[in-house]
Amino acid sequence: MKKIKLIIREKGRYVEIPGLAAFRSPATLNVTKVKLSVLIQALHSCGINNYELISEDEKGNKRTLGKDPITVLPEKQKDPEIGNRLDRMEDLLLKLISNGTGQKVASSEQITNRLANIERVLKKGSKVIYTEQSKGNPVVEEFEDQYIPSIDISEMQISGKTSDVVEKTLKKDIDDAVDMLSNLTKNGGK
Amino acid sequence: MSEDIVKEPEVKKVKKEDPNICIGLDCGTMHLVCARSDSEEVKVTRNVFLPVDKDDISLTKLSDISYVKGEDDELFIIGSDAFEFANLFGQSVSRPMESGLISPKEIAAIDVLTLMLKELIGETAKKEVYCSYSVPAEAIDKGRSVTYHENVFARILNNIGVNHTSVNEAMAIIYSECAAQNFSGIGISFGAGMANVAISYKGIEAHTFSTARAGDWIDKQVAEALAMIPNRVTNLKEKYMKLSGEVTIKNKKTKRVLEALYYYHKALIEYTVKKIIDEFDEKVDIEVDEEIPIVISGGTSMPEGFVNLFKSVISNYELPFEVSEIRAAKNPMTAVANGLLVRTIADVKGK
Repeated sequence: MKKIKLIIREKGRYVEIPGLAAFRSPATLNVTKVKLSVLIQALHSCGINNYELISEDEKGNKRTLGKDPITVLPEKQKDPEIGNRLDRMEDLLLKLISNGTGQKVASSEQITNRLANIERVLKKGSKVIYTEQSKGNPVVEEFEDQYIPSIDISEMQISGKTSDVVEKTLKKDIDDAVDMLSNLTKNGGK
Repeated sequence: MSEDIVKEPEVKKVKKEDPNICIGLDCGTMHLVCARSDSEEVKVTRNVFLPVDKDDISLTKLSDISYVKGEDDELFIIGSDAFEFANLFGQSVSRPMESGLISPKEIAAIDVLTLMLKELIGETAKKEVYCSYSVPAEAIDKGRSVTYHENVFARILNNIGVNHTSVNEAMAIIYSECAAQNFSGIGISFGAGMANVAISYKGIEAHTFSTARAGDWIDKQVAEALAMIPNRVTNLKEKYMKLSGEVTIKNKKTKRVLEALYYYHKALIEYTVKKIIDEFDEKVDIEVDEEIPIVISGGTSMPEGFVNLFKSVISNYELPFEVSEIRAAKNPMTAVANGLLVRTIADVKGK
């Protein structure tokens, strides 16, 4: 049997709902036995607009209900013709957004890979990610890069002394600063 | 009689070679500065070039100077030589960057800049190279985005085969100069194109911003006031400018330039201090409950007396934070590159 839970986070409200003992918010309570329309009306009359109603079935599946009484209708069987048309439209859209090679941009595998990448980035937290340029492997140009003119210096030659040495850095100073910065980063600024 | 001493085989200590090279690359309007983890030398090149007509100059005359020979025999004199030649001929140098960002005016700039950076970074011997390069913060007084600039440098480094990330220029000063203060402080980089400011608390970037007034602004104002070309003003500034003590120059015209330079240096500092106070009041959310240092860096802060002038100006204002000291970076020219190197090594170590 489904259970319906009411959550009121707003503090300091005196709430009276028919069939339940009066209480003061914030509160979370089981309102399965209260008729939904009566419950909503009671909440309105107490001046409570910010609340959540959560429906939970036997399997533990939860669903947030709207503020107004909801009549959950049985799912309509999908019209096979409409389904086919939607599939064709999806194919058409994928073709339109593909990069001209006929390869679909957003295959489920690619979406999974992208999500995995996002997860990896999130796990790294504040760690800096260097845009990698692997020496041995050819660079795979991103789609957007096709619009950026490439830098070609193959025909250019440089002659003469182009730079001067301005300083001999003390390696120890650099190493000390690196250690302190690494420790600070590890300890979250403490 | 021979002594039967059995000699222990000599164990050679082989230092494990680091498979990575870390780099700090300061991409400034006037100078490009590079610090590497495998070298104690910090190298610098002037970020300017001068296109020359091949009919005007023969290659034999170019034997002692730095130049780039491009497609269709185009010639570009680069670095300090470009500056000297331009001054000699009364021309203005071409600048790959303008006001702290990649210049939209110079068509050849990116190719020339790529070659200059490749030379400056130098040999990497097939090692994995990681680089933090400097980017300015968005300017609060000029509506130019830094996105294009940031992406162009990323593309140049891609082209050279370097792994890269961008780091705020003024934060780099904090990394190189404020380790003893647990990376808390206000870093100010008075460059050629922009003045960049970072407010850092325990290594956390509390707020960064930039203003479009810096060394070039001073030169332009002085040049306009005295009807000169800005190159010439820059040249005199770098040769003779002092913001303290007696002026020993006898040439009247130069004296007048130096006088104007003093006024505009003071105006620049006034403007920057006011902006720091405004930004701190409006944008810094964290409670800075301890005294913090102000560290001044960048090529524009190099004239003698700049820090004292800064102290004198700031003493007229009530600040929204406590200052422990106001000091110059150990080397204003290399502080950003060294700070970027610190950050790169720390990132790569933590990988």
